[in-house]
Amino acid sequence: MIRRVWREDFRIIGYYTGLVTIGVGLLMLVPMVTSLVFREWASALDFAISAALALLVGYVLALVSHTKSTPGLTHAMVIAAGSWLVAMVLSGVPYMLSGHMKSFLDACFDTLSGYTTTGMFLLQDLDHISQGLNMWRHLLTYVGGQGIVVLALTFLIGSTGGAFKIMVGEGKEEKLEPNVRHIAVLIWRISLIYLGVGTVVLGAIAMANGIKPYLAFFHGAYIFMSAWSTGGFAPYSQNMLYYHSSAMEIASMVFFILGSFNFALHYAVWSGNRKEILRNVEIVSFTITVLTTFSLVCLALMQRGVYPNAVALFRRGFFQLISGHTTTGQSNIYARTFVREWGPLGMLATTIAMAIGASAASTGGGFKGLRMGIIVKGIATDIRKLLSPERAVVTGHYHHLHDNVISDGVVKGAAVIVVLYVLIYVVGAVVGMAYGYPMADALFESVSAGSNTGLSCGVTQAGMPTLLKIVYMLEMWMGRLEFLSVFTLFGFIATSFRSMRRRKAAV
Amino acid sequence: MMTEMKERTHMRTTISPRRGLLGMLTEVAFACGLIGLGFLVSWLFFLGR
Repeated sequence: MIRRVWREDFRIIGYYTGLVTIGVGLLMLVPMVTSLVFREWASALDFAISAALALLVGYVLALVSHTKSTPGLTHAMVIAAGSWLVAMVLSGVPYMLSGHMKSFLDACFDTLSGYTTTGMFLLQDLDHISQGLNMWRHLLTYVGGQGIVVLALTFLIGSTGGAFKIMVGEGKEEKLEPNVRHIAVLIWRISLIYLGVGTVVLGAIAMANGIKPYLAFFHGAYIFMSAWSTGGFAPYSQNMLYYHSSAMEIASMVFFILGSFNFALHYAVWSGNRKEILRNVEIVSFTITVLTTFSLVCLALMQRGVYPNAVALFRRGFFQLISGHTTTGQSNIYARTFVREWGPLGMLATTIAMAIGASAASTGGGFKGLRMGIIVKGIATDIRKLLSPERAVVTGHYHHLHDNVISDGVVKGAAVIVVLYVLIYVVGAVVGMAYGYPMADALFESVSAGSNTGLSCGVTQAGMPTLLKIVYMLEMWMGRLEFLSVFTLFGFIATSFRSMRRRKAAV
Repeated sequence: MMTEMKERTHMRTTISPRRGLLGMLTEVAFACGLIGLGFLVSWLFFLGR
């Protein structure tokens, strides 16, 4: 906890935030080139203006606050939380210039939804946007999934002493390697290999479904980026329904299941420890909760007689459920059809799946299978202690990369984060209900935003109340960064004001 | 996992292509297995109707 904020603190935060902003500016060159390839001159100009603005802001910020000091943990947390907000605002500029947004708040909603891998959107007339803007939407979600701040910092300034702390601030605290640059390179190597494989597989399926070869490549890349980063965007408003292809749905399911894995698990499996995939507490917890919640969905859908056979039940029901559970948000059912056909039990099961979410240190959201596993194991250990003789020493274990002992501290840490997630889910639901939305709809949409899923039952649209948009944005931001860095940012701002008042009083 | 000592204090760890490929196939097989389990559950619910 910092008791006083000094000018050097602002310098460190300003300098690193400036570097991240330069990273955002450089990233805009990718959609600009895409627009040039498709001869979308107006869109290319939008990205040129936006990139110039981001580079200018970033350069000025880095120049005026240039420092050689290394960020401490507090700085790292503030940089992580603050950079996401700066990136959100600057990334919204090309959205606004495209003319497809009703307001700048809507543009910020969409960019934050992209970076946080949520997948909700307020963009108007999605079916007629430029390829450049489509590339930008999917690129945001792909980069956001891997951690934009650590990406920009490790690749712009190389190995930094504070970069690992910033990584913790972005909710990716798994230390796979002694050097943070190696961690970032490993994460990106795995992601880029899958990007190549995914683009080829999904592009080939798109081509087999009649999409022109050069467009099929882009469709493959978009759907892969959306699936792998558990984002949920798609190039057309009908999302996965546009393709009417079970092959596309199954391939996408494979990629978003893989995207929901902990990066440490990818690393363990890729470096030879293949049995880890069957032993890891997160995967065991994920498999159990997927099968349990899907059984509830089957029960609900069978009672209502929605689908005529097992194939239809699997294709719609399992896709929707596992898309929610991995916090992806891709859908092959229309939002209102989902509410009408699935009923309260089906919606509740999907809401529970979204709330639990994916793995820690993955591209996914929710309160994570690792915490779920730790809490369940903690409860089981406590029950065993109660049933054992007083003198007996009872210890619980969970397997995550290696065997770990369950201590009260570990269980408490997991429980605190779960309670905070539940709190934001409830606050969002209460605000929704205050605006007159039914409880089931308000809760579903709030959990979807807070867990960075992006499935919608029709609440999220450009005409929704402004306060509800802001609440969902806060949920996405806090949910993605897992609270710690956001609370540190708030604490830093409060301390800054207190320090300023003290200095004025001293004068 | 290939581990090589560059200098006394610097250790570099890389993933060999063979292990990487096997790792990727293991992950894809797991995801396919989970999807298969999903189909099995759907089928069992229809059988027990």
